Amino acid sequence: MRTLGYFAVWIALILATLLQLVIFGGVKASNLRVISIMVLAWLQASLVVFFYQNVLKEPKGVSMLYLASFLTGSGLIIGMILSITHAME
Amino acid sequence: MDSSLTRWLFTTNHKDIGILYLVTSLYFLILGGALAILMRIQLMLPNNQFLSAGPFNQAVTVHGLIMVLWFLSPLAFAFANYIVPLQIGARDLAFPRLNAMSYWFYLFGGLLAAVGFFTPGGAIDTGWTVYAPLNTLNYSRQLGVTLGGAGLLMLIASVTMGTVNFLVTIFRLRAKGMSLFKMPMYSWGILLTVFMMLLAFPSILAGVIMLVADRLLGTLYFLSNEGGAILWDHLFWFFGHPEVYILLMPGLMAIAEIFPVFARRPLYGKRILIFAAIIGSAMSFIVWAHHMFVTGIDPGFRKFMTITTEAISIPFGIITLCLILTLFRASIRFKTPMLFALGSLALFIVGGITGVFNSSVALDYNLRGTYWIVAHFHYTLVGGATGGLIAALYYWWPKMTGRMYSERLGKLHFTIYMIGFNLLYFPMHLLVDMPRRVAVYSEEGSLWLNNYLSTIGSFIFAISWIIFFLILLKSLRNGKRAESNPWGSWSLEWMVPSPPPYHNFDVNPEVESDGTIKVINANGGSVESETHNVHLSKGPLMVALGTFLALLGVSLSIFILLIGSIIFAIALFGWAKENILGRFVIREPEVGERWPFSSICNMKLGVWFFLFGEVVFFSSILGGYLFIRANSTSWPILGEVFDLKLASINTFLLITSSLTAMMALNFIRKGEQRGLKLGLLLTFALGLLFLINKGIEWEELFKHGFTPSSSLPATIFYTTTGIHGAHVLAGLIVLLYLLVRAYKGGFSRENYDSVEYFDMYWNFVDVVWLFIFPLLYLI
Ligand code: HEM
Ligand SMILES: [Cu+2]
Repeated sequence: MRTLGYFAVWIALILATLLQLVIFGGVKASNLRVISIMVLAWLQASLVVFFYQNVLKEPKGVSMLYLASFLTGSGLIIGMILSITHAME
Repeated sequence: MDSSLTRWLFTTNHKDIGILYLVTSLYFLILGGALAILMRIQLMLPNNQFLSAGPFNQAVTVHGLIMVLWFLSPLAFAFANYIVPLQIGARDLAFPRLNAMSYWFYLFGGLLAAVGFFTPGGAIDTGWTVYAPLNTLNYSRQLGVTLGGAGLLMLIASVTMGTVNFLVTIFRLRAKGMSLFKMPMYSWGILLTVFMMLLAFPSILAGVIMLVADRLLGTLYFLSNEGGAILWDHLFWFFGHPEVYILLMPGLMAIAEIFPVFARRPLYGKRILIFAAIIGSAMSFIVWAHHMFVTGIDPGFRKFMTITTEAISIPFGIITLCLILTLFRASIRFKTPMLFALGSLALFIVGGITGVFNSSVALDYNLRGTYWIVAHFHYTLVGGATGGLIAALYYWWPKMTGRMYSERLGKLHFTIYMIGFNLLYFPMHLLVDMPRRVAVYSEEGSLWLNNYLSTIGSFIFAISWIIFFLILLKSLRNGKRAESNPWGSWSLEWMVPSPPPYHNFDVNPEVESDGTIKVINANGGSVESETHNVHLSKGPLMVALGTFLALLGVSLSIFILLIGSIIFAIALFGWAKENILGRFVIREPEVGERWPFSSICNMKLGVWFFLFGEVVFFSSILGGYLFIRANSTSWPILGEVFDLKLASINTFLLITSSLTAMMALNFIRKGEQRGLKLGLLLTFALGLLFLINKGIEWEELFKHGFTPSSSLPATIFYTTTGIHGAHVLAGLIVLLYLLVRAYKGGFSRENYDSVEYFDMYWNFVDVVWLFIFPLLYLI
């Protein structure tokens, strides 16, 4: 069962990358293209985190802190971008 | 335990390492203090000629870096090492060798930065904030800045190892009944400190790596307008503001530990205080741009950071109130530790109040970069944080050395310290018209008097420290023997002899639900024979030495780099051998308080914590990219300009290697050795192919003139994929070790943990690539 699950995740990861490449080659509208490619990246990352790294099987503290570190990193990125928004207009 | 050189070089015991930290940090205090006196002599009179601008700038910079990173934090970690395991009822830290390595990286990092004094152009002279673009080759050509960066890298490595170690120790090695809320306040202080360290240091790590890349490889992060000053400001202050709380927290919590003992009553509102400290620590991550108010950042963003900065005074106000209420109507014993605790709280309050002024954008336009700011952060950092730790030192000195010191001299020290401190720093508040970091000022205006007073104060302050050292030396030579509990304290470290035996406790201590601590051996229970546990290891020192030489070599000569790398490789090999031969086994105690991490082992938790730091690290690297890109008018999509084939193949390779790594784990869970070996081999091969393919890609791009210094997209491309590639390489080295172990039959159905840890890391590296690939090539 486990083995099968790992293979299924692998196939999903490969398919997602292929899909990214197809979108990259095919979709012209740049917003749609960027959004769908990044959504797929998030999907892939979640698959690895939840099914290979198995965070949910760890103590709750682990997933909470994973989330906290992720929020910290995102906070930095968002702050960096916000700090120059007036310059970008 | 012998006192030979071997003991101190190869020790892995937490108390020995605590003493090493103590001695080394005080040594750096003397160094940083000497530089400060030089600066004050120069500033004593207008138009003074004592130090010219160059040496003055070096003195300011090295003074700041040493005091913040090589004195104050390490002093806190001297007690963290020595006292925290005792306080929570542990026999050592979770990873003793890693702990020794933290120390050696700290020491060698300091040496590396100091080598700069002996190179042409002198040591790093950019100010402790190392602002861009002053830090680039355009404005600071001298090697000293590169060496300073390299020294910082080693220090950050030291801090990272330390944080992981203390987090696991505090979460997993507590005595039975020692719930988190029963932990003494100093241990709480260290717990919060290492949490902040774990999430704050990665951003400065990213910044320093970019800086070193700019200086050695010619990348353009800080030379460009799109990155430049603001990029550095973000990466520096996202670390820098939490850092000031990292520096403060141990001292503040030492005060919270000392007040109740000398006021003879429990800490007022312990839980409230702890919650306030947690909230304050978390909030320290959302105020960093108050250091950037005058840089021209977005006004809306600035407003947000003003509000958060003003709000952060609330938790610290609550902490201060709890501390003061502890003393209310108490009969206080004014011993030396208590005097310093009281004094430092008072000085901290002054510094906290000036901080609120700074948080106003309007005021900050005038205050920024003046001596007012210097006064503000010396009241908080010296008055509050250092003073709290000096109180801690006087408090725990009898425990650590087994000797008392002269109370009379201690009071003398305190008196002169307070006079010197206030005469030194108070006049700086009045120097609102004087820019900081400038070597000369003219006779006009009223600058002279306050500078003069301040310098006189600095001499008095210096004298107080000389008294301090004399007190300690005198105590070591002929101080009265200390009993186990000279102050009548209540926490666990006072229930063992002074100094404590090598393994701290003969029996497992227990805390009862009413807080009573038991260390007696009631019915002849399991007194563990620990003699076989006396551990020395050459690995930590050698790895640090190898890294030191390698980094020195990168800056100076290939030859030194080579020697360093060889030492590094041999040391790692020796370390792995110690593991394979089982010469350094750490048994985890069976009972203890481990909430919320009871169902996970130490090592695994450590790997998780390390990865959390990595999350912030890669966020910073990618943040730098997104920031520069948002600042650029146009940006080529690499996948459109260059062939996507190689990069896509790499994505498939890495995804598949995650699968093979999982399969290896799956096989050994069932005890299938051949499957394990096959899985590991395949993972290794795929990882290696990934790197080879990357190399081919880089070579292709180079041929097209796409080099690190050719453009910003190239800068970001090589740095980001290079850092990721280094992670893959590190994974391959670990894999090699696992393969050797697997072929020696070192894994079984019951024992496959290392494979699991490797998989966690490898999957993380995979996830990072899953973001790098679209971000760099596709959008
Ligand atoms: C809690 C202990 C504190 C410490 C250890 C501390 C430390 C520091 C340091 C080192 C700097 C100067 C950095 C540099 O430019 O080199 C600084 C600046 C600043 N501090 Fe604090 N601080 C503390 C508390 C506060 C509080 C409570 C506030 C506000 C409520 C505050 C607000 C500021 C602001 C706004 C600046 C920037 C001023 C400027 O450069 O224009 N600080 N602090
Ligand atoms: Cu700050």
